[in-house]
Amino acid sequence: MTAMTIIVIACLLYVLWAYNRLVVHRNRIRNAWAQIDVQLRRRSELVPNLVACLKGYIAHEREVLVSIAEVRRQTDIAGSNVTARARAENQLAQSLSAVTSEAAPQLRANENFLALQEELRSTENRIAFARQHYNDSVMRYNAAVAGVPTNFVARVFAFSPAAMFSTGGSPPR
Amino acid sequence: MIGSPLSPPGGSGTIGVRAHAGSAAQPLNFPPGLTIKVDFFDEQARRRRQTWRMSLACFAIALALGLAMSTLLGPILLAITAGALKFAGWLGCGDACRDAARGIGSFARQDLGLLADWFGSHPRPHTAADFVTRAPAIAIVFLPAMIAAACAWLIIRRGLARAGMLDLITAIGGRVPRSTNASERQLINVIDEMALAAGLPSPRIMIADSPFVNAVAAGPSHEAAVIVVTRGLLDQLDRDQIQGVVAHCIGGIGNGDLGVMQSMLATLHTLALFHTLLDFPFSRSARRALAGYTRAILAPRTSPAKVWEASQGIEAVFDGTPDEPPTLVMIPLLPVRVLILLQRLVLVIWSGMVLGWPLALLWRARRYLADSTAVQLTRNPDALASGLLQLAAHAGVPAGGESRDYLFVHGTQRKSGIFERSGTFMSMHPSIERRLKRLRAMGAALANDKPGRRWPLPSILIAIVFGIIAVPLLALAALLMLAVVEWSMIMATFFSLTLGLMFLAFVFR
Repeated sequence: MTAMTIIVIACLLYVLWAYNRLVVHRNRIRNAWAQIDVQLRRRSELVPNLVACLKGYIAHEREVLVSIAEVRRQTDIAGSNVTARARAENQLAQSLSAVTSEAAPQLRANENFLALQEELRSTENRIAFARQHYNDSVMRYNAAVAGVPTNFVARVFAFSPAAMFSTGGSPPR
Repeated sequence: MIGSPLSPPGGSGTIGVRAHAGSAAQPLNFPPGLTIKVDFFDEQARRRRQTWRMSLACFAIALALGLAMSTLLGPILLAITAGALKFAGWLGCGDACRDAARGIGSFARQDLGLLADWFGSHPRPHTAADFVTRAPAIAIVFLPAMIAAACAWLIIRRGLARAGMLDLITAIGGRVPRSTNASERQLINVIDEMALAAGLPSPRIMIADSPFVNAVAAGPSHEAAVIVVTRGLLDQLDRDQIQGVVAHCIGGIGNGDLGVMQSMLATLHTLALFHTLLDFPFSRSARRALAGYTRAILAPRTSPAKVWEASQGIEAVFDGTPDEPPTLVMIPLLPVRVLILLQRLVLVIWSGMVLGWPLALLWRARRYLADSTAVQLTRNPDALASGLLQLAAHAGVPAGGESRDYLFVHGTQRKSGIFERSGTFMSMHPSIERRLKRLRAMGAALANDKPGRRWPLPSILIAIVFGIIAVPLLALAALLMLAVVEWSMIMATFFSLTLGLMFLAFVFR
């Protein structure tokens, strides 16, 4: 009788522990996902600075700047519509890197521009690292959801496996 | 928030530019012939297991040391409690006190009888039942001091955690980075990126104007961590290398290394504290150290510098500095003094020769763990590997940090600070070659490059002959040393037990 009680209590404690662990993992994923959005916004806010810095330095200046402004406007319009947002963000990244790589030599010596370039680079890194953290968190969470004793708890409380942030288009390698 | 967190739709995959979250520059291109032998997640799991093993070893050894020390402290604590209760009862604090004192007294007397029986009787007890019936008698000698030690450990750990070694920043002259300076601005970015990759809040960033190339993480917890980077590191390393070194620091913070170090220090401090406590009646410096340490640890608003200073005082126990000559008043207590010296000998020998190994190995495992976490964060083993090479080339710890060398990414001295004082033989850091070897196994392309040295035949022969002669000799020496240690431990325990019993018998006459 006492043995039964002990076993039941141990099982309950285990379920409690497993549930809490799953919740912690799931919250981490949510937080990581939010971080990606924060970093995307940060990049968008860098654009006016870059535009101001580039004025008077690049060829076909007007068209380029107009196109960047247009792409940025599209990211704002897209808001949380994921497919449109993704396309717009990708275009923004491409045109930004194109502009900075085509910059005139005298611009490369400009301190402001160098600082801005570092900021841009860091922002791209942040987006990449935020996504990496999201994927690492998803991996841990999925391992917990699918692992053998925990998966019963996960099924009972409806924890479903999360999707990785896979990259569209061609892989870089 | 872009969509539901648990079901990012397939299209979202194209957000962002870089598919590979490498450190900015380029995706990893593996040279032909280079393969990844170890996945960094596997390496992390391996180092975590090693951490557990070493922690367990440390715990067992600390427990053994605590048992030996509590044979002397236990009876004293019990007697003091009983005496205080008796005194309170005598003052008229009610019958409850007197009853409690009487209770302790009769319990002790009864169990002392049992214990004396156990030590004095021939033949000694052999059956398990004998041990079970006599367990309370043994427990009453050990338990009070063990419980006191456990409480002291918890309090000390809390005090050390609150101080968080933050005085190290002022000691090595850390300052806030200037965001107008390009390379310092870059450092801020790099650290923020790595914090993002680890999912940690951004740590506070400090810069020490030192030509050495090194970095260190300190702080009370992962939520309030500080990273100090030398100016030399910013000048000598490129962006990727800085990222690798910073990732080691952030990885250590995320893995909870700050807490591990606090626990290790708290263990050594508890041992030191109890020895200082035994020295209390005899030496003025012990009294001063004890008072200072208690004040610093218990203070409601801890000043890290004060905690550090007070720890220095209490760690002096390990130095074996000559004590003050006994005064006339102390002459009746001389046997106790001899005992305490004996126990101190045991403490120094055991903490250095026995506890030192697992402590150092534990910290080394944490360094490897932080290395593999750095690879996970940067996804670029080359970054840390080439960074470590630079660290080794400009090795050094900024002035003021030498005695806490073990906290830095790359330790230069073989051992330092409290670990040196307590006599640890091993270095707290793994050698740079071993770390590079592990990084290479995780895919670092560089530094592959020292071809294995071929030994000429004569030296091999000499080595074999030397091995045949020296190995048994060394083994014998080790055995002898172990025997001496064991013997001194047993003798000290035995002596202090006898003395403690006499003391108790005297109090509860």
